[in-house]
Amino acid sequence: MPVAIDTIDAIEKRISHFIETDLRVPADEIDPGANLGSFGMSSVAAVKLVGLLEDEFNKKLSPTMVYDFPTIASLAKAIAAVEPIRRSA
Amino acid sequence: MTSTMFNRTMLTPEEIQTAAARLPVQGSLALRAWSHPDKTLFTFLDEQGEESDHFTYLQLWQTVEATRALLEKRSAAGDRVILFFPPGLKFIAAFLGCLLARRIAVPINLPTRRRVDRCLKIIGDSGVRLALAPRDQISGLQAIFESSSAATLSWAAAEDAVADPTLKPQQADLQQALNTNEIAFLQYTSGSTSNPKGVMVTHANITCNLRMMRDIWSLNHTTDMVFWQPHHHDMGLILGQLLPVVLGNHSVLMAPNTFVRQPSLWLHAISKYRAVLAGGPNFAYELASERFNADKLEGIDLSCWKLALNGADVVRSATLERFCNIYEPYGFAPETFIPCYGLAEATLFVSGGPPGRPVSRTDLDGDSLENDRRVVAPKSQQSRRCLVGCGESPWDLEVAIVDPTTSERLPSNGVGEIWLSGPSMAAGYWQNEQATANTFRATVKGEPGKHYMRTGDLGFVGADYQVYICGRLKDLIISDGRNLHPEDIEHSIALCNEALRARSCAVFSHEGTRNGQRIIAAIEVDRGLVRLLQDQSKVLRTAIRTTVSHDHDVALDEILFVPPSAMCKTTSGKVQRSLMRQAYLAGDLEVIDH
Repeated sequence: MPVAIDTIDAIEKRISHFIETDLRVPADEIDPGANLGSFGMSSVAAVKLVGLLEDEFNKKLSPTMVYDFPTIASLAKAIAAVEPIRRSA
Repeated sequence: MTSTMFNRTMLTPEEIQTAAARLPVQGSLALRAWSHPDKTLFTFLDEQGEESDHFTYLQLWQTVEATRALLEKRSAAGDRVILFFPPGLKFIAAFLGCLLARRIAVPINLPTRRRVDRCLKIIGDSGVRLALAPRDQISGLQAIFESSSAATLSWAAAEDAVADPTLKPQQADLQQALNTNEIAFLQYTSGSTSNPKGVMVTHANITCNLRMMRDIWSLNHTTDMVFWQPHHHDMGLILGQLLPVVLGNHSVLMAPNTFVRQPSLWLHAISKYRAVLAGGPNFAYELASERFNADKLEGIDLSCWKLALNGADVVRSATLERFCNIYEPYGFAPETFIPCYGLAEATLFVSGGPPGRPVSRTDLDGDSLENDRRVVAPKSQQSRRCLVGCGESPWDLEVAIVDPTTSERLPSNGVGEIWLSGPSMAAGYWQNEQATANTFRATVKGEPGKHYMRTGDLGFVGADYQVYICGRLKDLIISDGRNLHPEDIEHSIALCNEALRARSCAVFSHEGTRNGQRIIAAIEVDRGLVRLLQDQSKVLRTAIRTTVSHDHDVALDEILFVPPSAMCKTTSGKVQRSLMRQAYLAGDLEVIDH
């Protein structure tokens, strides 16, 4: 299934925003291709981020995704490919 | 065939309560496994919040017995046994098995390949030879330790302790020949990576500290709990895993990551299992507020929650207010909050409560507090600082406020180091006589013969008898309930890039105005480094961030480069972190722009 570019973009933005506000990295130092560890992402922060993205994009995500896709760009792409949770009517 | 105990058919709840305040915790378990064998003691929830494991009182006791037998085959009395367990119910059986077998348990965080140093130091310091772990963890851990000093550890699988479902506790199981002043376990939360210190907690310390919490909060077998703190942390171990055994309640446990990922699962569990007691460090309440999502909280009722503990970190008034505003519509009452204070050197609990009252707050002058260590009314709106009272202490625990330099007892408006005396003070640091004497055998000037334990925390006891914590005497940084030693972080920074070698660096924290604590690294630069900065300051800062999160699993909030003249040092060249913090807060710290 093709993934809409705007979804990837929105997820990337959300991850960058988290890095800016929670890890307090200046926006101009956030490179979507850099390893998340280079922003000072701790294991607690990684789990927190996964939970946040689950809520905001209505998906069930594995907490290890951050380690399997360790850049903003690759993580956003991987998350965009996960099917949203269907609400049981 | 029923087992005999006291030649009685039953014991009253009062008899069991009294016995639980005297028996070692493993004896309490045997007593309860006899008295109410089929009651569920622990339920474990998986990452979706679904029940995935259980222990009744009898099942846990039988598994503990089997663990004792396993340990007796593999080790000798007094040996240290290190416990490598992921979140789950296997840990508590292993831990109590050690206590029953009179082995000294050493609970520890599971190491990763990247962060193995501290673990190796602890293995070396405690002198463990036997490690106990779930079978599926052992090969991974052995790989991590390959060709390290821990390669010679021998391993036992927790699953090899096979419970005998027909075994019942006998009276003899309570009165095992035990000097209750023997060491039960070593809690490694103190000391830097290079100098870990294992707090020696005795069987009597555990019994006493659990009784203190039980009585000061009026807990009993009906006060069920929900907990998610890690079991290698003193709060998770003493409160989350041992208190239930002594109370005889039903406790629901979950992994720390389950909570951090979806805080609503914690609140759902409190509501579903009608928990009376639940809590965590301040950041737990912060996170539960931040991640509030009405859609996920449909139908929850928090009115059962009577004791919302908040400890192991600075308790923030703003956090309590925010949480209350959000969760009052779900039945949470403001007087549920129990800010508390404790540390491993005092087993865990020092103060908290009384329950059912509004939280005590004191407005004071921040400048007088920082500069003169005095409690006075705020002199201006700007210097106003609101402190939350961390509760009253039990009747048999003395809190003294002492001048840390002169050892003199301070008057009531004085802020000094908190010194403690009472039966829950630990026996000292494992094989570290000097640190033990310094910390555990302090005497107040003019009051010889009575030993106090120095907490290293600054505070005062208010007119309301509440213990107020103002900060740390030493430079220890507490982040999300975890103790970090600035020298460890500074060491990593100095090694992360060739340009930073032999540069001095000061890592310190301060209480941010709104968003909580911030951790700052001020790094000394000389001319060569200034040149480097012009070209690649981003690269350098990225290298520092990477290394610090890699080695210490924490984020730096600010990285500052300062000229040599701005580094505060002692005559012997040691950085003075508290002076650096003061200069930073006053806006006087000279920073190199780049």
